[in-house]
Amino acid sequence: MGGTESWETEFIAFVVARSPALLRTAFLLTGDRGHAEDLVQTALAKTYAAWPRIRDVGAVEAYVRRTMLTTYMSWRRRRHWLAERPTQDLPEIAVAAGPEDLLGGEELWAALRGLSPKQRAVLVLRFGEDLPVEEVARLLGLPIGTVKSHSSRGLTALRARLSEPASTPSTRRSGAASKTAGGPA
Amino acid sequence: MKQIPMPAPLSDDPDGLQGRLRALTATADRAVADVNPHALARASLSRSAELRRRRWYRGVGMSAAVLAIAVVVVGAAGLAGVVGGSRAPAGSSAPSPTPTSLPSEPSRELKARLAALPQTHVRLANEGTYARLGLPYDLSLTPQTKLITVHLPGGRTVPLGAGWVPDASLSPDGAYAVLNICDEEPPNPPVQFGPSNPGRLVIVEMATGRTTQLPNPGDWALVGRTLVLGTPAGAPGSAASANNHFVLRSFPAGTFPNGVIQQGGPDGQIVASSSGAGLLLTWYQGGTRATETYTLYDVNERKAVTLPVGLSGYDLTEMSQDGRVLVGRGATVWIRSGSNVRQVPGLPAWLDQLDAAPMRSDDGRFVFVLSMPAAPTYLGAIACDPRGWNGTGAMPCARVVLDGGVGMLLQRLELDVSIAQHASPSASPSVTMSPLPPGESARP
Repeated sequence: MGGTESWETEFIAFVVARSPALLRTAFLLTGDRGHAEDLVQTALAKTYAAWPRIRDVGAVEAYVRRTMLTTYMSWRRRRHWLAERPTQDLPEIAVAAGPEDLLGGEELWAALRGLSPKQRAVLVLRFGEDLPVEEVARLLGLPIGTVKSHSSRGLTALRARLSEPASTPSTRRSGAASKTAGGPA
Repeated sequence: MKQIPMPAPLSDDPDGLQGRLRALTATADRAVADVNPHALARASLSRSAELRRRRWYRGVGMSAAVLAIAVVVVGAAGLAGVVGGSRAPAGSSAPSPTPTSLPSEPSRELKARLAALPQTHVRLANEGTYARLGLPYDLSLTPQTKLITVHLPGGRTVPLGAGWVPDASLSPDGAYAVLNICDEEPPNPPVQFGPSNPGRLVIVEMATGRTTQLPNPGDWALVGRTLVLGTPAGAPGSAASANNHFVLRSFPAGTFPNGVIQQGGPDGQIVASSSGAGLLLTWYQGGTRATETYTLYDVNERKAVTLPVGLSGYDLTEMSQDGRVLVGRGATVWIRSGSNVRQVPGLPAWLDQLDAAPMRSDDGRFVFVLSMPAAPTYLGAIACDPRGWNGTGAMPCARVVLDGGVGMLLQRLELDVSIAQHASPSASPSVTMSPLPPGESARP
């Protein structure tokens, strides 16, 4: 088998084996299935471009995850990429209201969406993926102290959000609309 | 109802919040459970290589290029084995030209063509604005939170709090500046729709230093003295959540801070804008390709030109300051006249062999950061000038000296490469990522 075919085979095998875990992380980061797929696909495409350079197959997942995280934070920073581009035909997401939704999942998702990208990434990796602080720091390229700080501040912010009295979506929408429309702060 | 047990609170998790975060993974797993991994792998491969392959073949001329491609591929395969630490089995034959077997290193001829170009300095779009306003220009992935201070023409300064500035604009007459300031604190009130950390827009009247700010902005652009604001993407209540409805907030003399507010502009996403010419290029995402629309909108005249259907999302990514020349991914060039758009060569033919993402410079040139199609090997950047170009032949191009913002951008892009090195401790330190001409560095 030629080198490229071998790489493709390895790559596909890797994606088949690890895509559920990667997609889960991406979904936790983005909170949206379509964006999660796009994020994973982008990270995988970048990874494949570097495939010949990654000698240690065991390091591939770390590479993909780090690419995914940097891409995610980059998306959040660049205005042109921030614009969401969902289709008119919303995908059928097989997410019924599960017990965790009944136990405050929706509020938690909404509160997570309000965090900064770094805080969210830290919380997702630290608690969603159950990674040790050192591993989170390595993946995000941040000092351990900064990860701890983001973790603590993120949890504090989440607690503050979750303790706020629930507001209806329509209230929030009208608030956002009036702010967008203008008026001095 | 069947109960799924919640994780028991940990000792350092008195209110069970960490456990609830862990429980979200179950929702995430279910949300992505039906994604086909084979399709994902194929799509990733395709995204990584297919477009590049098409560009590689396009314009080269198949009959004349077969030998050249084979030579380059064989050469690249050999080179990758020596330089890049290839994992290809020793002695394996060179693969045939497939979507994933493109050259990862520039040919000698390509290097020579790049080296033969004259040199030029460019500042990226808005880089000059940052300098005029005294703002830190930071393209790193992890920007530093700093005290933001705007410098007014008379030497006064206006403090705007702490944060980092992902985007800033100055009206062509220098009367108003608009800064998007983000910080690490979550927005208050919370953002339910759109980006989670959009920060705030601060509008500064440069003559007086007075400011006004808008929290949680959506898509925006300063076009002349008019701030074009899109509804935060995805907000319910819009006809189609994919597309913005715009509000125009203009500041004729004496109208600051409220300005004159009008609904306006074509619905869609902002693709590019030209403050000097008062133009806005938007893309409306319909349900099908046939309903996708690019619109060029004259903000001052409130007139719009709809470009012909057939251009899908991301086909166009930049336009010249006068809106006459449009460029897209893959270094494609269109000339626009009225509502007619025709694709022209416009750029040097050898650019087809490379990845070239377009952006605009501060003075209106197109800047293309060049990389090899099969590997993140950055070759530097070129600037091509559409100003005064009549649409025939190729725009005049020059090689960009990698300093200032361009240098930062290259440094940022090379992070992808450093990620590989971090992820793979055994990776060869001899990997050469930036075969730049001697004497130049990607570092500013």
